[in-house]
Amino acid sequence: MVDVVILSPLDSIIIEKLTEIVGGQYISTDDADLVSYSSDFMIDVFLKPDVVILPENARQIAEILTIANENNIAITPRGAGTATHGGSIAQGGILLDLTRMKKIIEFDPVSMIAVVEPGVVYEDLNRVTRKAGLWFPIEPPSGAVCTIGGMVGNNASGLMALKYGTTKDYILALEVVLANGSIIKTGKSVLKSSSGYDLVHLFVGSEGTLGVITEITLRLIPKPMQISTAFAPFQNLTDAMDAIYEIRRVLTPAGIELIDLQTQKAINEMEKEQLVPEAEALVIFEIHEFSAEALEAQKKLIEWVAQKHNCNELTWAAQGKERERMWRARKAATVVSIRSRTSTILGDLIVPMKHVLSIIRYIQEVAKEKGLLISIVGHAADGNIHYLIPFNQEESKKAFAAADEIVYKTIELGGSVTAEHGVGIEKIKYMELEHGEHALNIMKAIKQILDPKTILNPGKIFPAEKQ
Amino acid sequence: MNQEKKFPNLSTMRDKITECVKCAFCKADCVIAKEILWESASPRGKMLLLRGLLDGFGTLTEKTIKSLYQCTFCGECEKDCLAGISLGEIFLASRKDLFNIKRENIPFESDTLQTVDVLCQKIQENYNPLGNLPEERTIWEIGQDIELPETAAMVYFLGCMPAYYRKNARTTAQILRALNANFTTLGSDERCCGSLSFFFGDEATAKELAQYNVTKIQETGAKKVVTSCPGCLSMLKREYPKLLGKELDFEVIHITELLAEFLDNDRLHFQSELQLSIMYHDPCELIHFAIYDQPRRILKAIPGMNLVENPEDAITKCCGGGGGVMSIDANLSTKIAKHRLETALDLGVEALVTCCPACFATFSSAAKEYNLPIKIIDLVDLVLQSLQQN
Repeated sequence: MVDVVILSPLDSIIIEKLTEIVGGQYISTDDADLVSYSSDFMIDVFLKPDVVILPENARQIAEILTIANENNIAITPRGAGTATHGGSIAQGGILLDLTRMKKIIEFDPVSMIAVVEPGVVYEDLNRVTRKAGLWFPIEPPSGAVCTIGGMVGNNASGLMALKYGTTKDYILALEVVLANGSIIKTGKSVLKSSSGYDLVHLFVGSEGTLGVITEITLRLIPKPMQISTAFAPFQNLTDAMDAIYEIRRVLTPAGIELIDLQTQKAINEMEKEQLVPEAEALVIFEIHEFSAEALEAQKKLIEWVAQKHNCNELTWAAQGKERERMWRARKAATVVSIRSRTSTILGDLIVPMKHVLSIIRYIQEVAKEKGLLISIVGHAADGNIHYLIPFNQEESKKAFAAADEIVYKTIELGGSVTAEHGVGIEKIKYMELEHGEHALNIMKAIKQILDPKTILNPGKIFPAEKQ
Repeated sequence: MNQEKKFPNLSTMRDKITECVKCAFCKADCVIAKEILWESASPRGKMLLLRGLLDGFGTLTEKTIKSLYQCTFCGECEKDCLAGISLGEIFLASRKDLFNIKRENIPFESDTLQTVDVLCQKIQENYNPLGNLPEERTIWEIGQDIELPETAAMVYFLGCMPAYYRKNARTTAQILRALNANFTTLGSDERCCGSLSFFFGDEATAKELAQYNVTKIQETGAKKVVTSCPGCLSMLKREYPKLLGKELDFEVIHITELLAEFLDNDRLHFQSELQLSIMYHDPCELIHFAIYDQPRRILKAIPGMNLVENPEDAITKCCGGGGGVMSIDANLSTKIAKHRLETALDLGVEALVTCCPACFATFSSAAKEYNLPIKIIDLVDLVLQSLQQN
């Protein structure tokens, strides 16, 4: 069950003070607003904040946090609410919707740097930077709507992590409002620094529990012009993984995705036409290059390796509608296979590469043993596997038991319970198992220094401290 | 009152509503969500509001009601929805329930529902939402040397805005005559297509209007109906068969389809050169019927016309006025329209051209409101001008 803390409730005097800070237009206690912010992607939990505020800048946030800290009021920062583990929902307190802060403050194509407010939508930034041939290459599936602030908060990654890494690899500096209302700037607009502790990356992935990020400086890289994507159906999962292992040793595609048979069938059923070829494992390869020759060479190599591992129907699409169709199928994968049930557990595990096949087979065994339909999609080439356990109320107990078993196996194999989605409220129970008591205590001590009253996103990452 | 009784239409859609996984992909192209930052205005927010109402964790407030009427039914959210949910159908069901709830059962005065009620009543009483009298519907014919037969191969269904605001109807009729089309109109027998009643949730009136108009069209013996209003096109072509539970025995097309057909058959010959650089705006209802190419082909065929396409978006986004939003929240509509006009200005064109009287009105309001240096032109005006000798 969700363990969420309620700090002090808001009284009308505090609401008045908050209204003075942001103006009546940007604060609401209307039930329509409390309900519409009551959940985020996938999670079957609905919690209402007491008030929702859309601040305009760091100064306003500092004033809001000062009031909250003095009065023990919980503050939950939120971007687009596309995270999956309940990290951006709040039971009571103030919910800070940061989407009003959507200015691209600076775009410097010479230094290849952008400075943005947290509410800038991922694709909106790339729309501007691509005119100079640059991009922030994370490509989260929710890129058309997710905010960069949210990506930093969760250390999000995406479909191209194999080649380009994750959000943390691009964050150079941050402006953060701390729990007591003070504003700090940490990091510089430079590509490297060995000056003291790396506070920037302490905040990256902290899910709004250590401060409210109000400005992000990120580095950009050149965007390759030559792109090609392939569907490679493998009749056998072992062959698919052998091919992936071999390809990874000789080149670095932008992304290698894997979709299991159950998900492929669900996609085809929903789209009413065969969008994807059906096989035990459908692998999507995407390669990015700067020259057509280099792209062709990589395509040939991938085809050769795939054929060697019994995949004879690999089909390529260059940029355009066919490529969009391929990626739409992959993006839909997390949604379509759960339509027949009322609730879903979405897993985000990552294991060392050598154990990817083992963990997939293990998930399949758990599904069979418990009589559950568990579908698997994932970033097969970096070890990050998403599994979806859709269930009805009567299946709830065994669904959660299955999720636990999969997590225990992940830890046993040396993996992590969340690769890119964050802990939120759903994964708290596994934190000690993954990190051990001492490491977790150090995390708690850091939290204690920065937010002694635990007003910042309480009940996330760690179990809520009862006040 | 239990929720099933209070929201009967929504209750039948409970499964579809709970199918939403709240991914928010629906927000990506929603013109409303881009304008109003509050989550309650977004398609996902609306889905949560409806879930809240059905499951009892949400209450009906004025903001909830207004949010549910802040949707233009442009259909972008459905295109983006990975779960393939027909959000428009769900939002329409919510409006039907809101329209039918007895006002004394709502514990506050709802400004939104009051506007809805006034407009729906106007349509019920005068068969148009503009406040004009039914007998004024043929006012556009004054000064026109026009005699229309009782029967013809084709009916030109005017729609309320062209008929009462006159210019679009006159121009369209003049084009049809210039092209020797065998057509008539329903004259003072034409009634509102029912679009606004339909989108405001007054399904009974929409159905009555559908039945009436279909009967009148059938009396002319026409097998083809042409409209100059995409909203009327959508009602007659898509909604009438559903409302009446039967296929219609006549074809319904938009004027741009007819003109493109004439162009293809070498029956449309433009005479005058019109030196103008323009951006074309796609009305949502034409997008729904995949009518993108025909208006562009017509415009490109006009000598001197420089049609500039937006490299960022091949098809333009909603003007902001559809689905009744212009009537409920004109300020919101013009703000959205302003963005489209700014895109046109960025492209460096002199005019934005559309072929929808409602989009035309929304853009004209926005251009005036924000004092934007751009002309708003109806496609049929350009066609008629170029058909005539200098």
